[in-house]
Amino acid sequence: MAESNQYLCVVLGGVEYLLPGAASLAIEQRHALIPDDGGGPLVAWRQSRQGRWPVYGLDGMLRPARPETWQRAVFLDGAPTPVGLAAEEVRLLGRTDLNVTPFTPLGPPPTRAGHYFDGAWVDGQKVVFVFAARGLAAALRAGGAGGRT
Amino acid sequence: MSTAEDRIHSLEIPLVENALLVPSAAVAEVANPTELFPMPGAPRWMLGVVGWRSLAVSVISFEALMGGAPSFVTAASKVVIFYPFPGRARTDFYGVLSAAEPRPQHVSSGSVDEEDPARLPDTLLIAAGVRVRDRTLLIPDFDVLRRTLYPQEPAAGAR
Repeated sequence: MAESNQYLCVVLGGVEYLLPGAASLAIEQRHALIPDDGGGPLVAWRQSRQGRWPVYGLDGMLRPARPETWQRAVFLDGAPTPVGLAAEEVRLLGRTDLNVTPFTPLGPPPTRAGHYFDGAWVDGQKVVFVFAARGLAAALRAGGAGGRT
Repeated sequence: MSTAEDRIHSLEIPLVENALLVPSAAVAEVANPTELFPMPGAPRWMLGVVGWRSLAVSVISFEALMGGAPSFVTAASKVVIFYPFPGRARTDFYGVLSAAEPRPQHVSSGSVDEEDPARLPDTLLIAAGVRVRDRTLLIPDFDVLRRTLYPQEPAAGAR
């Protein structure tokens, strides 16, 4: 589990995103999870005392996907159970290493829970979006529900 | 003859098929379009985000906002970066993709003619049109633009 003074750098489909450390309930390695071979974006499960937590795959544009090379799952709080994101790579970054500024996406939010992002880190000309945990959890659940949010 | 008081320093922003006319005071900077990062979940008129002064600035296609095909970056393109709307966070700059270098225009009541409304694009985003040297320049309705960009914001009376 990441700490509140850290960000997780999560790689999806070759694209880097940041997630505030406080938003992650747990990080698990792929081999510690129960694979799901159903063929959709549901790629694995985590068995916990509270029940089974699903792990979904997204591509670099946050569309439901079934990634081949994911290494870890990052779990977010959510109802009815926490939900996991299958990531190709997860790195911990200290807040002092980054200059994250607020970012308000334009237009209607893509999920009922809001926008996917609420911040951004601009490193030179490069922009890395920072996930809004509720929006990301909604994107994952929408993928699992076949696109409904 | 126009006086200094009724002269408005404006910027003409060339689009693919027409042009906008906006107050220069609303514009923070005209920038070269550096790498444009696509944003998942964005509407089709939101072309992506550029890094500018350590901020992520959304770049919109005004053509697509008006219902046309989204514009795209060419060698001649510029990004016109607007100041945040009043009351928005001071980081909420936004950009409009310009098809070419914007041109300053000093507009006064005597130097322009109002365009026939029937000749304007059929969209609430355009408040009016003016003719400047035989060209039609479209004046955006910034209240409508604000509601389009920030649809979750409370209505003007509630802000």
